[in-house]
Amino acid sequence: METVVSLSNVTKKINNKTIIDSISFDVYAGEIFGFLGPNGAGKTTTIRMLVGLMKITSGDIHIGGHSVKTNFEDAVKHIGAIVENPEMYKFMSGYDNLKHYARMTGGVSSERIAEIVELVGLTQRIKEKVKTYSLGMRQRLGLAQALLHRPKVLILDEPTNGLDPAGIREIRDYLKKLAREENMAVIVSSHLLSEMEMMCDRIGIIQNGKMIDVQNVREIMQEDKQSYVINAKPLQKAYEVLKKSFSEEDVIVSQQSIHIKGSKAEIPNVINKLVENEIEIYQVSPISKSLEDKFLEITGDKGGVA
Amino acid sequence: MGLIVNEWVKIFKRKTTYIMIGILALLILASSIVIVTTDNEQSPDNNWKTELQMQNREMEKSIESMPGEQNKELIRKDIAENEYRIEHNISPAEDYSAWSFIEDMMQLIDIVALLTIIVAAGMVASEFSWGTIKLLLIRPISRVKILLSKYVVVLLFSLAMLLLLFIISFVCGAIFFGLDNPSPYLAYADGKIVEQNFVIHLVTNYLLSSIGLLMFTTMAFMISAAFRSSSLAIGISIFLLLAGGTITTLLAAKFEWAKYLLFANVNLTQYFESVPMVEGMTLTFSVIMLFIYFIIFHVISFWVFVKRDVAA
Repeated sequence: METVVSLSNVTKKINNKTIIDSISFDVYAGEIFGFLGPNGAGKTTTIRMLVGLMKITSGDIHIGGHSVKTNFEDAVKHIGAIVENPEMYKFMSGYDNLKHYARMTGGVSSERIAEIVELVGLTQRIKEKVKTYSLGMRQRLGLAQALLHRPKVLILDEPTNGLDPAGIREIRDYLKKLAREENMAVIVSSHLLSEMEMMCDRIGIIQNGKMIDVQNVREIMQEDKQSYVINAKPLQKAYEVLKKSFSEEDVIVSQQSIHIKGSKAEIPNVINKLVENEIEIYQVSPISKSLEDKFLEITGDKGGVA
Repeated sequence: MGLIVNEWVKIFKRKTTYIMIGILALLILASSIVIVTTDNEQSPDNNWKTELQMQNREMEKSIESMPGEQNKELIRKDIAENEYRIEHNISPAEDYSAWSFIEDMMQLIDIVALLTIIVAAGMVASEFSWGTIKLLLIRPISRVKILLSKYVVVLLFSLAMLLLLFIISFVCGAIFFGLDNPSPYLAYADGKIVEQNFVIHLVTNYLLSSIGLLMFTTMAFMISAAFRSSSLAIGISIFLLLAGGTITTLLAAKFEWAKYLLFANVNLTQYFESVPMVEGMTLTFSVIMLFIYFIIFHVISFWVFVKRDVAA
């Protein structure tokens, strides 16, 4: 896989306070990389260093092989980005805004502008002033602006902020398409965990300026042991039975149900035992652990979540 | 270059720009109407020579009692001019023509300065307050080039405004006062009166008066780039533009260093038409001082703008 973005020991200090502490990771072409962390963890600061809005105190960032520090113009040429909200010149039309950015990159024809406008579905309104646009339309215009010059890397800071569920879904599908079909590397930051889970291939979790974990989303979700909820009557008797075949901490009884931890293979056996003991079973089902639990678990171990 | 086109488009896509141009045009139009309706038709006075002689005698008497070398010099200039008129038979009661009107409208350069200061002050600061600075600086263009393009557009804008002032004044003047051939301008230098072509006199005076505009606009631009606040830039620049002269005159009475202040040097016409604000100042001195200030303003704005972390 081609490495498009590479951060090595990137550190940011402001007034001697370390905001970002030696972060390193790579992003490959064709993948969606999620940048996850609680508010104030340093997501936005890292993204600002990536696009050259903030200076890097030490370490370096390479984009398409060019250093952001020493060769800014060549490095940033490969980037399309929205940093926080997609703020545009409100007194100009959407089309004039795109032309403005096209003049700054070069090699963007008016056919390309029309093509990208069509792509984000703004053809009807593109000649109207941006101040008449809804937030969702501004997001689309922001996306158009970022994609205009066919970048290798698309960086979106909180792209689903303020969008309705349909809009979120649309953006998600669109980003997946860009990564698969155009082989673009997409970096997305968010604190919306469920969102990241559905969108990203890999997720880097950042906290207090440190990268604590980079994981493949599929791997995070696949574990040998899973939790199951069992609804049965009489509950106390079922608990006694289950205690015999599971260790103490893997069986928890609550008022209406029992939670057990175990592998999938054990489940038929458990059901058999309960039936043998004449216990009435109403429900046995797996609890799919969301990324959110996982996230809190990871960050919780290493200092409180902000 | 695309960047310059961009900045120009951003100025002229805003309504405020047209309002400012409208105000300028209205002011010129209003002045011409005021002048044309006030009856200043001077009946051809055949006794103007004796009148000027009487004036001169009065002024010669008062010159001794006048305090300050500056004021004395001003009176000497008036006397010399009157004498020259008597000698060469040039009546002071000239017909008021378009050219005289353009000369009167030179006062509006301060208004032009006001307008360009407002534009210069918004140039960088607005990008920050709109939030568009983020999308502007992530293009493959160095920050130096971006700031330079903005400054160039500020200069182009002020030039366009000056040209507009000149042209509107000319048109209004031609309509209301007619296009007579201007009589020569009487310039005063080293105690002598020299005749000058009036149009050349106008153009040089416009340019000389615009140096103040250039300096204060550059200052507003610097404050805008360094402090990201357009209201601060407008406030400080306009205050100094209007009050700078007075402050310098006050300080100059007490302190020698007043001549190093920006305001003591911006008005270069003082070397051609009257006497310097602070004694001992020369044209070369002022030009060097202005140049130093100009460089300082730019070093500050570029240095801060390039170094800055954009967190807005």
